[in-house]
Amino acid sequence: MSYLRIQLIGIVMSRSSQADCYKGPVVALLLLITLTTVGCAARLTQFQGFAQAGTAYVKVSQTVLTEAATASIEADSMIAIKGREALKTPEERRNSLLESNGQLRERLRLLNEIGKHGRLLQSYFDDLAALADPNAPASLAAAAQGIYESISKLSPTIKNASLGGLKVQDAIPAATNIVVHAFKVKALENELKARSSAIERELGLQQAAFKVISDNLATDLKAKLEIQESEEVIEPYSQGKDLSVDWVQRRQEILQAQVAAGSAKAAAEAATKLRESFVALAEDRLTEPSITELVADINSILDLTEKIQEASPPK
Amino acid sequence: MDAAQLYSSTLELLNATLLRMLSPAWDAKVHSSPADVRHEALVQLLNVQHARLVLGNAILQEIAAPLKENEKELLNGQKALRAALDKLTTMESALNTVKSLVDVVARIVPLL
Repeated sequence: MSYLRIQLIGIVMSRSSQADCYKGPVVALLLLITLTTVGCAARLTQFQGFAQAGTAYVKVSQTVLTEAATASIEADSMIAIKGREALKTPEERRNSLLESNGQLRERLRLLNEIGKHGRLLQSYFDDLAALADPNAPASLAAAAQGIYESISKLSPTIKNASLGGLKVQDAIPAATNIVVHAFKVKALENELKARSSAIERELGLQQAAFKVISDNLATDLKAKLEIQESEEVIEPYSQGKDLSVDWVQRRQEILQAQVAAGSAKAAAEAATKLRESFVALAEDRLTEPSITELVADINSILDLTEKIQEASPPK
Repeated sequence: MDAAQLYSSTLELLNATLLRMLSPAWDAKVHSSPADVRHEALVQLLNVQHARLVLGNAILQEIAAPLKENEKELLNGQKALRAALDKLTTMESALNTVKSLVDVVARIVPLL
């Protein structure tokens, strides 16, 4: 866009020696072209900025989902090891583990579907950013529709899933009425008119899914950390034996991770902000500073998840 | 209390009980208890973890009826367990109240 603007200004300069009577209308026309081009460029930047926020959100949400899956399995495994001696026969031990595996698989399936749903939303936002370019090929509109169809196929499984006593569908926030702005790029406007309300609902589904998994994740993380604190910090110290060289570091990591266990709630908040920003984007109310703030907010959740990962048992 | 509240309060208490049973303070009490109590503490730890996994994955609509049928026992069990965990006078009595609540949960969702 900037290149086009410079070229047009260059043409004006080269023709400045022509009769004065041409100058006024030409300058006015070029000013109009320039302003239009700047407007298009600004909107393209907004959509690209929002796509970046979508990428940051998916990165964070995938990290939280991985952490939720890992925490569930690790907590259950640590408890299974701790309680193993209480199971007297091989049959008891086998049945106990098989039952837990079945329950964990069910939970992991849901986390996997939420992850896929988020990644498809990211593809949709990338496609939307490309569609904001006036030179975008017509095939992008069809691609957006295709991505949305894939998203909507996943939604019923997630909506009907239940975790921790809460059905995901029941946690979806109320719909927001979107008044789509009249955009210069008609393909973009048409796409937003056709699907922005549905995409807003899908972002609401992400918000609900993270709300539902957050309590379970918090308990699993705390359970894992309680066992780690007992086994790696308190027991070695209380037994009066030589402490490992990394005992101080492990103690620090485990205690700090306990503070950071609220990361799933933060992911639900990130989904809320992304949904609100998407509505503002479609209505042409999303400013560049608010996009920058959104990306920074989302990225800050990664700090929390990194602290939790640091406290995981050394591989 | 409606089925949803019964469900969430039971699950919340199971989560809180699990964390309590994994805490260093609980561990210290278990270590200083006789062998049979230590064994029972491990049995109940496995039972609580199992109950929260199964109940957590259950769909509320499917277990609403048995939840309501066992409402009185669930509420009494919750009250007794909260009190036992607060005071923690003896490990035996705390483990008995844990077992009582898990037994009621087993009437609502099939446990091992």
